Amino acid sequence: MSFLRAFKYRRKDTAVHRLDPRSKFLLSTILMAVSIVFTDIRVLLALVFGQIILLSLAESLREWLSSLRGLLFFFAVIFATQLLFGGTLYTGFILSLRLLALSSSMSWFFLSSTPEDIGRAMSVAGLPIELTFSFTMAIRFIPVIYDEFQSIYDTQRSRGLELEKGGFRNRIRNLMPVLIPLLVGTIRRTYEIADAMEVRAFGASPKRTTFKPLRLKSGDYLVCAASAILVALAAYLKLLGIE
Amino acid sequence: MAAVELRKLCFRYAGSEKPALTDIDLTIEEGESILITGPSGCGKSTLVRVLMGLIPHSYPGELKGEAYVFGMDVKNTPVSRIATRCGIVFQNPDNQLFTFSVEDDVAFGPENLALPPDEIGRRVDEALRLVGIEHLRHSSPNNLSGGEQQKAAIASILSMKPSLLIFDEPTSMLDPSSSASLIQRIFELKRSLDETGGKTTVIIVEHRIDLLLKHLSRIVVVSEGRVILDGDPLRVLEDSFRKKIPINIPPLLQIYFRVKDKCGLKNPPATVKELVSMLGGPTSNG
Amino acid sequence: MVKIVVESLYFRYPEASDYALRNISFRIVEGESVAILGENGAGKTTLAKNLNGLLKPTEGSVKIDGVDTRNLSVAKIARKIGFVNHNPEHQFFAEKVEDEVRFGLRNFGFSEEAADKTIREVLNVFGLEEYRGKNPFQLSGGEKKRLAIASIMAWRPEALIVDEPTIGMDYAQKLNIRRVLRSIVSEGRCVIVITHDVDFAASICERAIILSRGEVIGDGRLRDLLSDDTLVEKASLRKPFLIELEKETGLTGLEEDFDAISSTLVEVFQKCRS
Repeated sequence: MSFLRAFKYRRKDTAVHRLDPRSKFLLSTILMAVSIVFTDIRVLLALVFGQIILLSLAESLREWLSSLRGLLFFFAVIFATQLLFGGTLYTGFILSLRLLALSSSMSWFFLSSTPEDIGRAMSVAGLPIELTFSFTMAIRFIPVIYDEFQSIYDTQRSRGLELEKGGFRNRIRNLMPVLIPLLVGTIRRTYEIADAMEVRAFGASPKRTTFKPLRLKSGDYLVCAASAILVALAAYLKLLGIE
Repeated sequence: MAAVELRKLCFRYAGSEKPALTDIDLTIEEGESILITGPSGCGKSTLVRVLMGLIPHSYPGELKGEAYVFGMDVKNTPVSRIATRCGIVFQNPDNQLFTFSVEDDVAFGPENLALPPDEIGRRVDEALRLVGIEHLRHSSPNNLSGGEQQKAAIASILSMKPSLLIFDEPTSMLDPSSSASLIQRIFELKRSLDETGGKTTVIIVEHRIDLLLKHLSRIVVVSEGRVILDGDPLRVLEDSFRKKIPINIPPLLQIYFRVKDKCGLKNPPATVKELVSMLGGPTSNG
Repeated sequence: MVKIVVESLYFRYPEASDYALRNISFRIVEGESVAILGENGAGKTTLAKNLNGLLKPTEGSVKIDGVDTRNLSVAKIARKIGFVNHNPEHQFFAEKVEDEVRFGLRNFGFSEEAADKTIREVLNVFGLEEYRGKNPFQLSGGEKKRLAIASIMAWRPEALIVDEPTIGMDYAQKLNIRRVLRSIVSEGRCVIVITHDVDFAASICERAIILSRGEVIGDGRLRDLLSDDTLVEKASLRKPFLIELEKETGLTGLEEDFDAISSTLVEVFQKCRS
């Protein structure tokens, strides 16, 4: 799970954190696209290097580094499949580098944007409020539901439940005493949340306002400009025949 | 106009044989502070859901009789309309905060009402100030204590500017000191809202009568879906005591009701010390 | 019979920067009734989970009958030390009340006949026999609580830890739970009640361990500790009503029987008059 830590938002006050989520999202998407379309080692190295700069501006190098340990597993899988199916060590390296570039482009975005910012960016992008709200709420309630799971699991263990015991079938059956209370609890929670949202007039008006409307600042224009240059540069490199 | 008016109200949840509420007649005037209490499962929570219009709009079932909140018929008024006059805080604070900062949660209601951003900003500031949690503005609900979460939930209701505030067992997840501080805050809030010219009505559903008693204008006791007692707090408690209705009558009052006639006590004691001095001081000295 | 020995216990949750429990030492022997008191976040539940192996000490040790909990499985400990979660709904999964009780018995290897007999007995003791075939989720709050305790007491653990038994309970329900816990104490079993309800604790437990911010700030006779104003305030607790009444009146040995207390008070009052 340490791999996922590279995507968990942390409150910090840096230039990257302050950017509008839309411009960050734009740059992140373009970086991802570029990582996918190129296999040239120079391009990929440049991408990773550029992202390291972004990550250090966001003061998030440490989180990113700790995620690398989780990526090692995927690198191993890539090398193994390459060697098994007639690839070379070099192609294994290139593919791993590409994966690194790809995951980093998501990493700095998620590390520096609150789930709400992401939700706001989603709704600006035209997604319906119900969808964006489900997204942010899912993230909000994951730790709460995890705590509930832990409490249920502890309770059943102190009634003699041993999940590790027995064959596959037994183990699945053993999960029921944990899953059923969790399911019931989560359904009940959903009702309570729905009540709480309704009494705060959720859905009252088709045109919901936002308290902190997103506003592009000079930094954001800079990021957008950089994104445009990046696209142009990528196109130019492709024209030059660089793969 | 009365804040709440229920006439011969009956409700039965779909799929249940027993009615949850039977022939409820209840009028609550603006500005009152009312405790609704009764044994667990007596229908208190169902009753407050009717006041918010969650029943019948979100919970299927059979509703008979009449229910008006500030003259709005709950049967055909959407919950979001009722929510502009009437706010409710539920028991579990965790499930009432959906965002990642207190400020955003407080803004959630006004945003739904599509108010202009600067108006929302003003309301958020005011709500946080009224509940005394300005310092938690940017905190994430995940990092707050239960008491703080519950205050944040109150603030997010206040930003809707309701004139009727309902609390459904707000302290049941809290320890005694946070409960006491929450109850204190609720009635300070009522006072400060009233000072600015409003007339705020407070309805609170609770088991913990001891913390509330001094703030109440009236107690309503519900049992098996019916209002069985309704009136002056002390009178209602004494009647409950005589009729052996299982509600949490504070121990001090339990003794007072037993000894008051024999010892000729006129007023209830507020503390153990007061009771003892009414009875002639400590036995060791007497 | 069970003996729990806690020695210089420190506990820190993974990824937490600070200790949740610091330097805790005490022992609990058979037949004791102990209240673990303290405000929310004082570490009460964390301590309880260390006593039955759900959590293992970061430093120091917890020994059950001489064996370190690190060397025991949770199931092994649970056979001796039962634990009742504060929320009974965190344990219900069976369709019938009787199967809820059967779950633990099966895990601990009771034969079906023995289990049947035990279920009958325990449901009877806890006043739940009429609900035997009912769905646990359809019980009332107080009945759920009693079923949760019954489903643990079924395998006769030597000690029982109950987390927040009075949360959300009304007066009548509290009296019922009190009766159940007292009967377990009177059988000579050890009962450890985690609560912030001081009146409830005082009506069951002889001894109290008071926690504040992860440290033990009081351990001794409950009546002595809760008569101590400074201690009570430091732990954000309240003096139990009966203890306060004893202190103010000079009477001793009051039991929670308001009729008896009232007649005593009236007698004293009339004596004063004459």
